[in-house]
Amino acid sequence: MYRSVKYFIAIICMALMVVACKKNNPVNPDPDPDPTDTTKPVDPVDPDPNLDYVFVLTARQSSANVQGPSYLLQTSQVTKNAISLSANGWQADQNGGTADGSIWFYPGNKAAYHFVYRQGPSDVTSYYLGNDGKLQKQGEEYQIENGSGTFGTFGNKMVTITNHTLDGQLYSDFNFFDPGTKSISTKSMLTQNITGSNETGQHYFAGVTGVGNKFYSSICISGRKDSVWVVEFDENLNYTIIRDDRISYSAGRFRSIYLSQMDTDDNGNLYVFSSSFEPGTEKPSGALRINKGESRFDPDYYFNIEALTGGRAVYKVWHVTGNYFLIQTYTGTEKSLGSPDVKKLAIADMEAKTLKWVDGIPADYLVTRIANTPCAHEKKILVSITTADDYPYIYTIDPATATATKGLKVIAGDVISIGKLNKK
Amino acid sequence: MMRHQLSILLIFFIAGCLPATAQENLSFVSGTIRDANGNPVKGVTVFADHRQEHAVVTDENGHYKLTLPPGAWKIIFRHVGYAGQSKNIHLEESEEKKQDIIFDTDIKQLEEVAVVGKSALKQVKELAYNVDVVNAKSLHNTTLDLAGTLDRISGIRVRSAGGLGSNTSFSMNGFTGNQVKFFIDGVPMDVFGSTFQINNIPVNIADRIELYKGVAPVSLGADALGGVVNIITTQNKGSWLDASYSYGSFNTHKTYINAGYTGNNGFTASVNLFQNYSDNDYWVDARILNLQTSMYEPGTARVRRFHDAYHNETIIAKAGVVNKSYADQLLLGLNTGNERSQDQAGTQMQFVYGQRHRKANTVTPFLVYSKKNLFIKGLDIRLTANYNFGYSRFIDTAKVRYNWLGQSAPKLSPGEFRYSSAKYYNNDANITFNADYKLSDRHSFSLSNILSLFNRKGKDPFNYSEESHMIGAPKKNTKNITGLAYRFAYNDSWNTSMFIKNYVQTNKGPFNTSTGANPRTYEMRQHSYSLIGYGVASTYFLKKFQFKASYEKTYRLPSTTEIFGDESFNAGNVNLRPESSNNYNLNIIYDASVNSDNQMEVSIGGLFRRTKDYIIRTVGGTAQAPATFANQGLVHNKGINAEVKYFYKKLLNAGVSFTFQDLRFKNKYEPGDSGDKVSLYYNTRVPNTPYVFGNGYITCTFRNVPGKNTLSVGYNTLYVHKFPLYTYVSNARDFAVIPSQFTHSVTVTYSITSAGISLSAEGWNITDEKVYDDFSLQKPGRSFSFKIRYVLPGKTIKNKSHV
Repeated sequence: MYRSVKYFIAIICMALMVVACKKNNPVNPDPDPDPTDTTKPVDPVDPDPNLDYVFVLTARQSSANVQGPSYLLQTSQVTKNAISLSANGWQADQNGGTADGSIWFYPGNKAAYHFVYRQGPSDVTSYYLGNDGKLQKQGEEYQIENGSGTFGTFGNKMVTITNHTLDGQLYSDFNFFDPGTKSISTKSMLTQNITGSNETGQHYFAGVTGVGNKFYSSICISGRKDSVWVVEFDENLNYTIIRDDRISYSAGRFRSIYLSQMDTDDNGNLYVFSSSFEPGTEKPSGALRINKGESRFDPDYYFNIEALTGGRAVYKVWHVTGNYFLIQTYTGTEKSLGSPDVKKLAIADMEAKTLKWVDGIPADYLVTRIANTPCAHEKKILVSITTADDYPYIYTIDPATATATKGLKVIAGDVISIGKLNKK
Repeated sequence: MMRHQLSILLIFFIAGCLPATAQENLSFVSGTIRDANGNPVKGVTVFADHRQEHAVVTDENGHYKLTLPPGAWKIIFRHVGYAGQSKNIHLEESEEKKQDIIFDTDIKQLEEVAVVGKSALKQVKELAYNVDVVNAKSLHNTTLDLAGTLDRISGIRVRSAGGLGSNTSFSMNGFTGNQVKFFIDGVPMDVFGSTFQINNIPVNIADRIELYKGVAPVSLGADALGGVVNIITTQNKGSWLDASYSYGSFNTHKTYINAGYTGNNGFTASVNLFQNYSDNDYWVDARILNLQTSMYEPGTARVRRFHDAYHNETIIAKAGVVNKSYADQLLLGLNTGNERSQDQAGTQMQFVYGQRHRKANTVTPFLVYSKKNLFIKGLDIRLTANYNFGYSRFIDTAKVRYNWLGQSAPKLSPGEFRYSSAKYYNNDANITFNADYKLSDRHSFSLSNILSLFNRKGKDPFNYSEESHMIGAPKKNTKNITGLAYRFAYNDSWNTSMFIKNYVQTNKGPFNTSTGANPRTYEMRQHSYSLIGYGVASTYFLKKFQFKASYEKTYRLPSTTEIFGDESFNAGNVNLRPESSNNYNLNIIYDASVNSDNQMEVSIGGLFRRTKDYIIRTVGGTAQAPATFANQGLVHNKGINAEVKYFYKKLLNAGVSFTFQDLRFKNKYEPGDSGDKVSLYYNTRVPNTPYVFGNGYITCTFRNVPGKNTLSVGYNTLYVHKFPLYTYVSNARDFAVIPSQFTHSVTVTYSITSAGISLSAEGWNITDEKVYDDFSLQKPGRSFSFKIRYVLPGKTIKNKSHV
């Protein structure tokens, strides 16, 4: 009997000691080492003070498109070594959207803007590069009423466009956020039947691209399959409708998101692309151009991209340098809305109307994500590609040769954007 | 907490150093122990003071025989659930003395319990399952709801998102939400809807609460993965009335009335009414949004909540007969309730709502039938049936936005967060059947079947949301769980239960198949499965130790919310697989009582769980698509619970409990990944789950305060160690952590025994600590409440706390 009591006491004492030890170490919420932290070498954490810019990567823990916070990573180079979310990450939001719904963009390389794409209000946070070469959070945040819709830049302002219905009429709300004065102005206008084509259903704006004192956004109308409409706005929302019938509407479709398929070249000419997503359209996936200073499509410019890609349609586009655009296309000829299969990258010379598949990136069947936002840098473009069997890597694509070079490894589930921030 | 641990250690060392004596020329004392009705009481522990290691236990006839050296002895008779007794005797050398005892039943239970000679409390504790029993009666003078009661138990955390009526999440040894099933008198509680749940039911409704951590008896034939909570309501005889009202901070009013009558002819009728109301306008620290500029003001401000009022009213009426030849119990009843809840902050405090609210009601008729010794001796059956006609509704239609100062500004589109006005009827039917057959004292069998039928009908008058096109689609679910158990009691010290369960579920509902241009496409899917689970539980009594070990392979079938969504924020996934788990438990309970005045019980338990296909909430491709549910990987949980309870006479009652649980993701890869891409979750702690927490309490009860009245003073403390909101990232800056919290509460109760009146005053969170359960959702600071309770004279008011 005595013995069993002693054993019992011993067991309890040990248990309590275990517990006490665990509790006496509350410095970290989890004292256990990160099991994935075997690859210690990390790009210099202390920034190189001689550079007047840094790269910002936004990464996620999960490789799946699940809800969770984004983490900021800062690096002065993206061509070698490895960087780890565990060792170098800065948790950017406490709410967390999905990988696809966490929007990051870097207007003018001056600041990184972040919000969560969703219904309901969303906070917009921003980060900039301090003079000490370290990322800083911009003081106060602001709130946008409705996180869904489309977004882009107009001059130094960030613009979001969302829709609402009132008494059966469709209105669009334009938010202009000026980071200089830290102020928002919201303007609303009736946009029902804005194209004048007697549309009765919802329309959606896709993309915001500023050129000089105007900004452009594309309109998609479900069922209107054989025309493209671009609206040219001035800051007071006076507008001009620019229509053409050579391509279908311009928008990358991903569930309820309407992605921008417009970008300007170095001279301010606006290229407008189309996926030809709408069922039944006869128009091939291609591009038109609005020359700088003109409020019409260039009647002499038409680029049938689908003819050069074996029937693969355009999904997203980014200007690299000169006439070169990086084009993300569907992997095959099927265009799906729910989870688009978009694993191919090509470089297009928009002036010469030529296209080359990018060489040196992983085979499309291995790719799980091409980061939502790439980054043009020194006449090249940086993209992050994640595969099923390895962590994401940053690739540098040279548009002249359409070849990619594998660079920095990012120990994270996924990378969703790459940006560059200049010192103020 | 450290101090508590030290004192526990000290107590153990003192207990271990107690002298043991050996004597010769022995004498005997023997006798029979009967209850107030003259029935023999089995299982009473009998021992002489300072010799409890030589304790004996009464047999089936209530007999005992204790061997002692000659001399003067204080003989102690003790049985959990009864008031202990003692007798002073003097034994000559080799004398055999008779000493019979009559035990007063301390806890009123169904009659058959008294016949067996064990209180229900004791009976349950003797089971091989890892079970905790809470004597809820001792808390009837407090303003606690069931959630607050459960929160004081080792291994349990009840987290709430705010004040009265706010969402609560329950976790038992790391299992949360649907993994733990709630029953009220053996009937699954899901059927009653949100108006009758642990966050609004007052503790007074319960006589006791049984918590099965891990393996549960088949009669609670649920598909619980992590355990079962069974709330046993008060059963009374004669005429009774128990009424109370309380008023507290934040304009909180609570009323509870239980009245009934049972006649000699067997007719019985009773009614339970309760009501909760609170403005929940407590102070919080919040960031202020300037509605003109849409910019946040710097820092935080201390503001009052203005849109968090909650109220519910519930009536449970039942009538029928008891103690008839054809039925021990045949009752028909109606559980009807109504609820309205404002919602100032959703899941994050920075978004403020001033008009969004939720409404629900339940109209649930029910039937209970039970009969012992049906056809043959030893065959007991019980049947219950319920049907819920209720609905629930989320209303978010305002074109206004608010900030924490209560200022508002017009908004262009309807819906403060997301437009919703859908109303849906969750018509739940539930039939449970149990049959127990006791072949002999050694062998007994149980058969149990639970059949649940679910049918949702919904409508959204504005057909606004993308997913609402599915609202009218049929959503049906049938669940049938059958359990068979065999209990083998080798002797009084050792018994073992074995069981096997069959789980069958069929789900039929819409599945969103949109991959093309039209996001509003779905097809009807049907998904069925049949699974077998099994387990074994054994307990062994060795002197003052009780050992318990259990293992089970169990399944948790997806809930109707997970399958069909809630027509609001969550979309369903009709293709979900059940969660499965292998659960291992080991518990040691030690009766460390020094003598009848100083009683102490120490228990320590270890557990291991290996859970597969954990169902998690995920968010669709875009946030415009609602969240949905998915099966995700493998989680291991290793945990320890420890608890010490101490009683000094009827004067003092104290205890401390402690829980450590280590839940970790064990999938090396995320789905689809391979090779070098080891998941960043691998081996990391399951986030947003407390992993170190504890509780302590002490209550002093002074009887015979002038006029035979009672005064009791109690103190309770809760500690929760900080835990990460997201999967831990070792050095990440600004990593979101829910801070440690340490709260203290006091209760003072004065009972005027002769008048049946008791008055209580409570102070909650008296140090006004900032407390959070869910990230950034601040809970109330210091608050006070006062309660008056009246019990029809003749019924005793108890102050002794067992929790």
